[in-house]
Amino acid sequence: MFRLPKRGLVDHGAPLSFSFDGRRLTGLAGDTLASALLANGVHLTGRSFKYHRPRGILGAWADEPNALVTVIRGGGRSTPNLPATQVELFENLVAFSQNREPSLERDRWSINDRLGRFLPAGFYYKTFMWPKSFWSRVYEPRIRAVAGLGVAPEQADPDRYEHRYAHCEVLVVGAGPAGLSAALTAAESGCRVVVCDDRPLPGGSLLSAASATIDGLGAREWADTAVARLSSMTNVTLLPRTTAFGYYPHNLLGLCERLGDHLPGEPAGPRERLWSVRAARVILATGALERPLVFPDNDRPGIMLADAARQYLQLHGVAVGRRVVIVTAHDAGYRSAHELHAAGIQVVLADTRPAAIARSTPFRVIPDARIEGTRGTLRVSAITISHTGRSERIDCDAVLMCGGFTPSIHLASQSRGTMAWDAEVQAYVPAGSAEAECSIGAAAGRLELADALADGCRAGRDAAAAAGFAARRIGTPRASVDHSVGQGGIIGALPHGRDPAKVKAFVDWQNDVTARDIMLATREGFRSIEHVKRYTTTGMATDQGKLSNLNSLAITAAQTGRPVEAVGFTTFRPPYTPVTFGALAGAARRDLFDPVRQTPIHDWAVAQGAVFEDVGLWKRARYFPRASEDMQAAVNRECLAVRGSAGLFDASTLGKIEIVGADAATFLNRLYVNAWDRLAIGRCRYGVLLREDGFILDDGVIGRLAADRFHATTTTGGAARVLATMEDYLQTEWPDLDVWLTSVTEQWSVIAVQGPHAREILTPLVQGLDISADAFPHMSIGEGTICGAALRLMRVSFTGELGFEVNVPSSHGHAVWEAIWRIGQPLGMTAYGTEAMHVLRAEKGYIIVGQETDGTVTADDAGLAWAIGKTKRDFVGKRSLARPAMKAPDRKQLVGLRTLDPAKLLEEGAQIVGPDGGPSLGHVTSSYYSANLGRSIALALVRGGRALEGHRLRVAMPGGGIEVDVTNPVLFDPKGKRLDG
Amino acid sequence: MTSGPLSLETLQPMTRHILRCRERRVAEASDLLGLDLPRSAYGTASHADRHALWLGPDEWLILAPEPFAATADVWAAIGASFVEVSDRQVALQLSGAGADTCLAGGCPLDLALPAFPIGACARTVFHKAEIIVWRTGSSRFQVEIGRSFAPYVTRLLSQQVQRGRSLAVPT
Repeated sequence: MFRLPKRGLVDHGAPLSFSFDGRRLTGLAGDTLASALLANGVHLTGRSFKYHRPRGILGAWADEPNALVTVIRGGGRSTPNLPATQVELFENLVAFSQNREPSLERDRWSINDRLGRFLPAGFYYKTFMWPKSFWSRVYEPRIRAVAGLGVAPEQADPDRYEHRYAHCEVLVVGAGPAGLSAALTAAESGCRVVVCDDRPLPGGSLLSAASATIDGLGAREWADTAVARLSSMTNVTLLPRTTAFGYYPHNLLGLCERLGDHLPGEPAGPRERLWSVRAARVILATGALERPLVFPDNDRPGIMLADAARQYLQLHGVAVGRRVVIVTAHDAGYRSAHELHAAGIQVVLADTRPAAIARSTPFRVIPDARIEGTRGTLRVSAITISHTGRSERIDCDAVLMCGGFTPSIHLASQSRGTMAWDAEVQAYVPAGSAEAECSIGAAAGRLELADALADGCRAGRDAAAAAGFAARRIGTPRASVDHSVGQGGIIGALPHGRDPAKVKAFVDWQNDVTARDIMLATREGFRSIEHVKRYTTTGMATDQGKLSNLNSLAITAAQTGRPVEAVGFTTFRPPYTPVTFGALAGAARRDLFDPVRQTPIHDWAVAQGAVFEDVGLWKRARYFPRASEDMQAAVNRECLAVRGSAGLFDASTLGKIEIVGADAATFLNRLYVNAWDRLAIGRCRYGVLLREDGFILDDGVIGRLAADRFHATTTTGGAARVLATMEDYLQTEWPDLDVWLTSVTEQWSVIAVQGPHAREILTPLVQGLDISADAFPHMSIGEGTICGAALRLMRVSFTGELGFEVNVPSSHGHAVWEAIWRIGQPLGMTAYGTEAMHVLRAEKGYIIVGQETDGTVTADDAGLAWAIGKTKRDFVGKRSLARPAMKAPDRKQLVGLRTLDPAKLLEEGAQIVGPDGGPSLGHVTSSYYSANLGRSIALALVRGGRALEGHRLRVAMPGGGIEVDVTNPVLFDPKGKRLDG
Repeated sequence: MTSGPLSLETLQPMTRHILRCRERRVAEASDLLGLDLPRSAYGTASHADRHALWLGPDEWLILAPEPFAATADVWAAIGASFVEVSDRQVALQLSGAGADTCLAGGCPLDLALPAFPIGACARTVFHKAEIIVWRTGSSRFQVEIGRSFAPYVTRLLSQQVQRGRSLAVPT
């Protein structure tokens, strides 16, 4: 009923059925949801955030603050908070309005509007303060339910998303007249050009430029030709439906390309693609947004931006009303009026400027107009205008506002470019660049078509040249327009004759902020625009104040008696428009969220029914339950088997670094606390690595393979950190040392064979290396072969038993493991997991970095002072250890804890206090049931703990304290005889 | 030049070493390897089946089909470190039209031919894994991956390849 035949870029022969709030309606291919609703005469599309006032469609694209809808596509696809102006129509689209109960027409919370004077700016801060316990339980959930946006989907997102990196010499953001001419000029030089535009069709303002010609072609036709030319060039990537949402350092821009949402049904490919584009030069041709006017009751459905109405007419063939009043403070209002009038719409133009431009118009012009208010509940029905000393009420079905244009400087601001106040445009425009970028056309405040085209040609040529490409000189396209954009504009609140305390003149539609709220904020002492913004929430909605920022700035300036430019302006932050979590996540979802690292023995462990745990990115077998065993039963069995016979453990995840070079021993000397000079070839030593602050960073056994070659191991989680630390020292502190590092973590699979039968099991398999007790004592390292594979064998033990760590190239890891398994099984060998490993090492008082240490534990705290080379001149962290606090006797020290009740298991992390309570003395770091000891065991860090050995303490627990005796941390085989078994 | 359909395959095991040495020893190391070690970023050198990939000013990945004869002593004599890492990583070959686009799904490098010509190599990332990418043809890449990261990289690349086969991939 409001569709005009033969107009716009819609396909009048292709009707599409859709539903809005359950109502079936019909639109056309090429419509947005907003244009289709308007074509059906539907303006009422939302309820406002705070006052629940009826709201209609205000804009035509990303600036829309009112018409937020939820689109439901089935299969869990539910997207809330989409501006209806940006939702492209497809067959059977289902959309719902938001923030109303039970319906848009009868919303029970519309009572808020009448309570408005009790709900001023900052009322949340003033009202919902007490009691504090209500913050999260009452106030927030209640307010959220009432002041709301859409409902977040509950089902997992079934769609796919992908990322793409791209590089180009010139990135053009915006494919309007400026952007297209820039892209064409740059592309002719042969350089790589990426052009993105957030609308379904490139062309920008050209698409609705009904009365403009370029080089003799209609503006649309020229745009089509330009797009066709760009599409045919192999050096150009043209991305429609792609929003440049973020400008990151060194000309990296984030682009979100929408691939599926405009199509019905499930997307065949990804729904969205996130582009990270690195560009040598960036040209911002992002255009300008029309500003609304701040007058009383300026928010009724049917009141919208004049240029939006013009776009609905020219793009979609939709009349936003039959009798419209255009209120303008800018010449552009006349262009809209002419075009609407030409389409048969009745137009009255009210110019707020004292001397309206004297020109002959086919419609009535009211100069020096003052807007006193509007009428109509669910749709505007009249506007009251005073002029020449009298008040006139004009009946209408739409009111269009034109306050001038605000250049879209969002990306320029994000790039840290500077802005300058342009008094003529009445807005901030880009003034200086921090990155290799420039703004052109309307984005730079140059609104006329001819200027935009000229800017584009110049910028395209300059950008290509700056990137090292000679641009062919192509002539600037010549534009002619029937109605130029002209000039004028106003910011701030319009004057009116009504009681300012009683009217609502909206500044920020989406967050329901009125001119009165901003005035209140300034009265209450807020002067900085950043403070006014946060206090009133103006500009803080999902539209980020695209329409409201300049008006709130001007009101603040007027109220505080300063020029606008003295008030400053708020920071623009990414994203320009909301970006889905799916696009940001890309492929990083579910089992591809992170790499899952598995050892060569993983599949064997899976086949054995192992239960795994995550250690960093690694999957490690935690225990190997048999039949109906629970974890404790399995761990008990595994622990007993290791000490009774033998155990097999996959230690492949251990970090391994091969350290080679004439100065390798010197390097280790400087880095680790231990002395390495006299470590004989073929021997190993347990090394402790400190940070410069003296606290433990990592530990591991290091074996000397040759005078100039060491095989160092690190913790699983510390591997990358230790390698980086070593490389850092070599490159920055000791570049004189001849030492080279190579990560061999993944080169070697490590199979730990531990227990009294360990040697018996390995002897038949090992060749080329005598592993007898005399020839290969504890802490030996040697090379040979096993099962035909290269072998690096270390005789080391993290269990306190006779133990070996078999290192074989990873491709042999599984086969060698199976071979050892076959020999060991008749002897009672069992595979054990990380849990049993933890218990066994805790029985021996061996620490785990990250469990007994937390970045505040020194070697001495952990009972490892013996490892420190006492005669060493220096090592990393040595100087810090000399600080008085590092030697204080009341530092937390590693001790064992014995519960009086041997069945009682302490909780790791539990706090330890004195026998009669008092302040915390430390905490439990490790706690297990030890099958070998037949009781619970625990390690703890306790203030002055070693001196408390034999004393009784309490472990504080919610159910009351648990009494413990402090013991030596070595709880099993204190003399270490079993190591030599 | 025509390039075949997109494909991803795992390459046969090969001998890999990491060579590290000072600038002044590069000539001697080159003699031992029988090729001229590349000395700048992206550089590679090949002789017969033997390849040297520049990873840093003092680090190269040496690839060969067979084990090397030179022993640790020989390398020690010129102050170089030559450590075998054959099993540390595995290699994939990605080839066909749009191979560079597949990599661009997770690799931030500029892989256009002028920027990353045939023979170029770089240690970089693919999504959250470290890779070494080596262009062995205009649309052929060898991707070296840490052994335990291979399933992750392979799955992500396969997805790209499948999508690239089903959709027209812009190159």
